Amino acid sequence: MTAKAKKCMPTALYRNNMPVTYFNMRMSIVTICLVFIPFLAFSSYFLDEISRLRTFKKIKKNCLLLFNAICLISVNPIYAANPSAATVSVTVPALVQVSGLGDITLSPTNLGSPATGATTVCVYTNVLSPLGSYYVTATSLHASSGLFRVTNGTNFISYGAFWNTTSSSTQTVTLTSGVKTAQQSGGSNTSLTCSGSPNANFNISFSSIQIAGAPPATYSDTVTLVVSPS
Amino acid sequence: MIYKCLLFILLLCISFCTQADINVSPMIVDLLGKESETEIAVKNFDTKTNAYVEITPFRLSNPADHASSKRRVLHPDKDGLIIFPAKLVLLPGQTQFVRVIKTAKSVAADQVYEVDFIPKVATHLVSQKNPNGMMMGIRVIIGYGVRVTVRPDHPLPSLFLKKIKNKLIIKNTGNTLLTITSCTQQVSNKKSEIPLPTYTLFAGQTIKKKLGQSTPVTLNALFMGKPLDALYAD
Amino acid sequence: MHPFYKGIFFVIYLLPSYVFGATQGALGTTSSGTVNVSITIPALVQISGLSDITLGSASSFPAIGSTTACVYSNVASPLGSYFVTVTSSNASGGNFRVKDSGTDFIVYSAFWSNTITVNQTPPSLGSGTKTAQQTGGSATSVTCSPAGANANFSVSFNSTQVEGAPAAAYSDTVTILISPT
Repeated sequence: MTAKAKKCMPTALYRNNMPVTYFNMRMSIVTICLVFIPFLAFSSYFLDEISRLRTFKKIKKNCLLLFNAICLISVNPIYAANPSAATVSVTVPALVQVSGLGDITLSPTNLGSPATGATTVCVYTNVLSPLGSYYVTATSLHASSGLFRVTNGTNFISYGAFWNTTSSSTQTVTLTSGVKTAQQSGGSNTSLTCSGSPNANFNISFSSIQIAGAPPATYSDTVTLVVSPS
Repeated sequence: MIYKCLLFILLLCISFCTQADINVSPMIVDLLGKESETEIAVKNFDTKTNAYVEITPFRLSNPADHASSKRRVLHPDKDGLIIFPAKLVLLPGQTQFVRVIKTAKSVAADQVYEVDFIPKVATHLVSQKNPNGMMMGIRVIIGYGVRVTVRPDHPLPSLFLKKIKNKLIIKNTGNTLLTITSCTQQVSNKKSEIPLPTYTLFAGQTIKKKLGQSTPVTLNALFMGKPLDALYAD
Repeated sequence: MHPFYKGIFFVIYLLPSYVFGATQGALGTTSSGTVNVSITIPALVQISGLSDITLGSASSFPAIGSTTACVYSNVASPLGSYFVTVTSSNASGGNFRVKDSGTDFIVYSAFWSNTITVNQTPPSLGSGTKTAQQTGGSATSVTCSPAGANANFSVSFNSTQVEGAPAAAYSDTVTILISPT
C-alpha cells in the first residue's frame, strides 16, 4: 500500500503490515459469505415451499436443519482454529441415601402385650472416615416434647421408636423425635441399593399400658427419617 | 382309709385345676356393604393345654334390652350371618381366626348379633362318696360374646334430642346404631358432663335422663367412628 | 408396547408409593424418607383372674365360696362397662345346680359383684340370664393395676338347698360370658 493511501486510511492498528480494518473487512466478507449465501439459498427454497403450499412441519424441519448447518459452519472455523489440552476436575461431596422403607401397620389382638413393628432400611453413604458412617434424625409428625405419637384426630398415643444398624429389629438406639443420633456405622459405600440386603432397621413399640388406655380406633403418624453424613 | 380320703381330696383338687383361658378380639364388629366380612382373633393364653372353643352366633331380637331373648342362627341364608369355623382347637399359646360373613341380601335397618366364644372342658367327677360329708366345687369357665352389627344398605344416622324442663329425651330416629361421645350441660359457666345410662343407642332406642339443671344441653355422637353434627336442646 | 400403555403402567406402578406408602430418599448431601405408622386398637372386653371355687367339706351353712376377677373394657358405653351372662351346666329353670356322679342335684345361688368384695345382695343370678349393664371395668389396665381385680363371682349354699342331698362330691361347670352388649 502506498504512503498516500495510508494517509487516507483512518488511524488503525496494523497486523502483518496490513491495517486491522482491512483484516476485519476480509473476515467480514468471509462471514457474510458463509452466512448470507446459505440464507439466500434457504430464502429461495422457503418461498418455493410457500408457493407450493407445503405443510408447516416440513418447513419447521428444514429450518432446524438449516440452523444446525449454520451452527456447524460458524462453530467449526472458530474452535477448530486453536485446539488445546484442558484439565477437568470435579469434587464429590459426602453423599448419603436412605431407601427400602416400608410402612408399619399394627393390629394388636391382645392389649396385654407390647405391640411392635419394623421396617428394614438401606443406607448408602460414601463417607470414608469412618467408612460407612452416617447420622439419623427421626421426626414424628405428631411429636410432643420429643415423644413419637400417633393420633386418631382426637386422642394421642405415644410410642417408642428405635434404630438398629443391622436389618434385625433390635431396639439398639432409642430415638427422640427431631434429635440427631450419635454417629452410626454399617452404611453401604459400594451400592445405592445395598446389593439387595438392607443394612439398618427402624422399629417401633407400643407398651401395653399405652394401648390399653386408648379408646378403640385407628391411630396414625408419619415419621420422617433424615440421614446425613455429619 | 386315710390315704383313700386324701386321694379323694387330691383328685377333687386336680379335677378343678385346669382352666381354658382364651382372649377374643375385637369384641365389637361392624359389617357394612355387600358381601362384607371380617375376622375375629381367638387366642389361647394357656401355655400348657389345648383350648377347645365352640363358636355360636345368636340374633338379638332387641339389643337395647339386655333381658330380651336371643335366637340361635341356624340358617345363614335366612338369618343373614355365617360364622366359620364353628369349633376351634387352639394349641397352647396359639391364635386362630374366625371368619364372620354377612349373607343378608337386603338390610333396611341394623341387624344385631351376639357371637359367643365358649371354651369346652371336660368335667371330671370323682365317683367315690366322701364319708366325711359333702364336697362341693364349681369350675369356672370364661367365654366372650362379640357384638356383630350388620349395618343397613343405606345407613341413615339420625338423633332426636329434646329437653322438657328437667327431663332429657334422646332418641335414635335413624336405622342404625350410634355412639354418644358426650352429653354436656352448662352449669355455673362450666361444661358439665351428664352421665347417661348408656352411650350406645340402637335404632329406635330412647333414653331418658332427669337433669339437675334446666340449662341448655349439647349432644355429640358418632356413626361408625365418624362424628355427626352436634345437637342442641335449650 | 405402545407408548400410551407404557405411560399408564408407569403411573400405576409409581402412584401408590407416592400417594399411600412410604417415600424413599434421594442421593444427596442429606437424604430424607418417610414411614407411615398406624395402629388399630380393637374394641375389647377381657376378663381374667377367675379361679375355680372349691368349697371342700361343707359342714356349716351358708357355705360361701368366691373368686375375684379383673374386667378390662375399653368400650365407651360408658367407659369400662360390660354385661355378664352366667350359665350352669346343670341348670334347671334358671337355677344353678351342682351334681354328683349319679343323679343327685343341689341348687345353689350365684352372685356377680362389680367390685372386688363379695356382694350377695339379692337378687341372685339366673342361669343363662344376662345381667344389667355393669360398670367399674378398668379402661386403662388389662391387669387392673394396681388393685389387680375389680369384680367378684360368688356362690352360696344354704341349709335348705342342701337338705336331703346324700353325702357325695358335687360339682358344676359355670360359664361366665362377658359381652359389650
